[in-house]
Amino acid sequence: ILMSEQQKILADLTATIKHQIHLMEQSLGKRHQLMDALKHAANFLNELRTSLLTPKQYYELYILVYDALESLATHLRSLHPHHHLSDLYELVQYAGNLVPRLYLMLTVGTVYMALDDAPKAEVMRDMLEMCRGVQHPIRGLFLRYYLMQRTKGLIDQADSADAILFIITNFIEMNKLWVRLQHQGHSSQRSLRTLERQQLQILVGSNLVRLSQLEGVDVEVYKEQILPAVMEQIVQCRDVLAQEYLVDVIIQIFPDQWHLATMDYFLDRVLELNEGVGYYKFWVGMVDRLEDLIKNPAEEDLAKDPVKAESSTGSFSSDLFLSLFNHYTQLSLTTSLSPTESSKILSSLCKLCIAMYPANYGFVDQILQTALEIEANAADDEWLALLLTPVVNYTDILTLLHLKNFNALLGQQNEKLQRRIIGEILDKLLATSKTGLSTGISDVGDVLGICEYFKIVVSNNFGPNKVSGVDVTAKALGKAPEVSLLHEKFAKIFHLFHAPNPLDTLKIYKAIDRSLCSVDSAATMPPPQQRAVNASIKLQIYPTLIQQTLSLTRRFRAVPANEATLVDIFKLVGTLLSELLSVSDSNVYPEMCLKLYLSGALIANHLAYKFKLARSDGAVDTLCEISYDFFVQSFLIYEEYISDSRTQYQCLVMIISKLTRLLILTETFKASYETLITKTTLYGSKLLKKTDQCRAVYLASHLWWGTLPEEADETLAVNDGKRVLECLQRSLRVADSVFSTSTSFNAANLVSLELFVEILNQCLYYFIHGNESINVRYINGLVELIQTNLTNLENELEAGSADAEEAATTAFAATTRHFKRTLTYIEGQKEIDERFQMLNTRV
Amino acid sequence: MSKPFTPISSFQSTSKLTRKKLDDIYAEPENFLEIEVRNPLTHTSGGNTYTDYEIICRTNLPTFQNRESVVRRRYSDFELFKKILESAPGTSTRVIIPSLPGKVFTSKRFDFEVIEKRRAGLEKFLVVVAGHPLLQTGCGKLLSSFIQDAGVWDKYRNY
Repeated sequence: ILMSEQQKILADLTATIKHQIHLMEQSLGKRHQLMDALKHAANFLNELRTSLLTPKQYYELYILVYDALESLATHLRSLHPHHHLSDLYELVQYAGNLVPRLYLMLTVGTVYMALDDAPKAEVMRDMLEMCRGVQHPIRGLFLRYYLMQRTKGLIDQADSADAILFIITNFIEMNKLWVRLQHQGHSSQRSLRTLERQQLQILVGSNLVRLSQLEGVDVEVYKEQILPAVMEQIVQCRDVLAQEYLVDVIIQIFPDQWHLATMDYFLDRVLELNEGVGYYKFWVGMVDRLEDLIKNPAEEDLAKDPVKAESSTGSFSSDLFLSLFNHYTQLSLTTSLSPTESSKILSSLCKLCIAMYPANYGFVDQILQTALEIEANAADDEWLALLLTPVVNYTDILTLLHLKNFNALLGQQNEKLQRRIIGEILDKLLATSKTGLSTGISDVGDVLGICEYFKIVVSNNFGPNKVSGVDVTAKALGKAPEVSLLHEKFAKIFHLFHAPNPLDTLKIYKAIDRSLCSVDSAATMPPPQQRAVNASIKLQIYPTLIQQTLSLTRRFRAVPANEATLVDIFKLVGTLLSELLSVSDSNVYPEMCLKLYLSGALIANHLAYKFKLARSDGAVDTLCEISYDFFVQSFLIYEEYISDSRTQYQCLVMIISKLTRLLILTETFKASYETLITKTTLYGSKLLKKTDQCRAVYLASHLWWGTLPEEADETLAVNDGKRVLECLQRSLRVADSVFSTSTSFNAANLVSLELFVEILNQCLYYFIHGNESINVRYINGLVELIQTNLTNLENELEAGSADAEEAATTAFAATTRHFKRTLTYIEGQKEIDERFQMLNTRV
Repeated sequence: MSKPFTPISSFQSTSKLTRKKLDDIYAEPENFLEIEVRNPLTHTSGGNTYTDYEIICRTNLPTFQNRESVVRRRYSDFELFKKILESAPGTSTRVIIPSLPGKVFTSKRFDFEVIEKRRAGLEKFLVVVAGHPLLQTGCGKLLSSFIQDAGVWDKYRNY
């Protein structure tokens, strides 16, 4: 029948019921009209005989009827013992039709039971038995529900055993009717029946709720009487819908402590349920309840007996886990669990483990191992929840490293999942560090463990389908955003790798290096791929690692006891640098290596100086040798790798700056040092661009004019004035050659002029510092030269064509200002330094 | 004076449930029977043309061999069936067998509306007959073989 028809029927029935209710109320109000009232009651109860409504609609009628019967009951109570209730109980059974008869019987019966002198048990039993008369599923369910509602408060104080039997019997009958509903009607309407059953499920569940609300029921009663009886029904009814709903209700409504006590039995019976039932739902539900129990012990328990509550949550015997795990194994053997279901069960079990046994890693490992053995399609992200659970729930993320199977399971997953998990791990590491874990990660094992994770991420870029051939280079380094993000995180974490004791930190760095140089032939990744992974990681972190290592030297004072350690440190730096160089392939890294060699060289030299001050000559020599070595290495890099002229110039400037800042020169190294500075000057003169050449050479001139601190041995300093002059003259010649001979305005001439001014400033520097080769005549000559050219250019510019660019004008103005500033400086110095008197500034 | 209260359990046993009773309670009730006649198709074999109908039966009654069956029968099969039923010993006196839809003239036999009317009539006939408890169990396996068994019935054709 159509829905619209049903609506109409519902409306009609409602109207009739309301009318009859009204009449009944009227009769109740008058005296001596009880029979009429009962007749009207029977009339409106008649409408509940319909089979045409959906459960929801039937429920609307039921509500109306319920309220009316409530008021009838109140009246009947007040009329006792004038109209004795036991008489009425018999009287109403003469009603014509079954459904009204039974509703009236239940109403009177429950009022009767409330009296003190009533035969409670017999009435109860009688009502329960008579309800069997209605075998129609919907009507029967609502009738029994009415019985349940009316007896609320009446049997809760009754003897527990009787009450339990009563409720369970009612439950069995309701379950029977409910299950039977699916067979009613035409086979094409089965889905409709299922919907109806779902609407009615709450009526059946209400019995279980009443069971949970009974007073005087403790865990023993639950264990012995209630649970077995209920579970028996659930298992025997062989209906998936019923089983799923009822087991879920049981999990939800009974206290967690009771579940804990009956876990074994419950899970055994769950195994007997129908094939189509979603086991994992029960598992997860139950385990979640247990976890809640552990995390939040009930308030009342704490109040009653704090000591007991503490101890009960503090130590759970491992039996619980073992029995749960056994059940899981049995479950997976007897039924075929899909990987998704297994994953859900295992991850909730894992959560429980971590909550119950925080210090026991064996259990979690066991769970992970089981997961490893289940074949799952890696593309489906089945194990995401399981892998995330320990990551999220362990407060100290480093405990992950204790789980041997974690990496194995992680290795099986697809890349996206791996990145996700590792991202979470790294995030957690970073978060804990922010909250003040200032000691950093100092255990070598932990450090290497974290490096393993990074290797997994990087190895994603070298999967078998991405790499063709054996020659893999760092070019394959992922540029995808989420990959770069992970690399960033790892770089941050890298800075956490340190120990309070610098010697331990050194150990950590060495361990990292060893791990990145080794290839495990037993691993699943082929060695070439491992090398590629290692190479790309080195490119990422070695620059930082090297700098950190160098900064370690600051932690050691310059005393003989530390000499060996310091040498060790520099050795490590050397190793790291050479490795970094060997894996790099672009221009970026060689330049970086060169810089780092120079840094190292300078640091070694400064340390040597400190040792000199402390008078440990042995250490001085060793460190100077190291320093020289590093300089040589940087020169080698310059010769072999630096080919771009821009880079060459910059590198040269760096070399010069480092060489000029040395603090100490020993006898042994003086000759080598001179080789170095000669070479540098030579490099400078060989640069591609003339402007670069000019500048490099005049900068190199400073190499020949050393300035060592006062305590140093002055005789060892290089102070070759003639060489300085040579450099400057060379520089001037080059600058001159930039000049073109054409008379028209030329930008090159401007540059040349600028160079002249710069050289002039260099000369003034040497003049101030007493280099006698740079004499007054020379300077005056230079000044005159500049002034002449300046004037020429100025004329050309003004007379020049309109093509002269504005940039040229600005540049010309800048050079002029530079020159003027220099002259002003000389003027200023004239008052302070009498040597300057001889310089001629007015030309 | 009110009579003493007598509960129902004093004259009817309400004993505990046994395993067998549980199976009974939750088992599917054995009262399920659905008959459909549908999908008329006209065949031509040799020189003859005739129409036959599909009979679909879904049941869980023990008197039927299969829980689901599909067979094809033509009108003359139904006539034969009815004849045998009526002549079977014991049935004629106790059971009123409903009538079949009437004969049709050859010219109109393959019209759409005629076939449809016939189909509806055959369905009504068969629903009543199949649901009759005496006919289900009587006459040997006549009813069940007609509705469910494609092979056995052919023997009867020559009866």
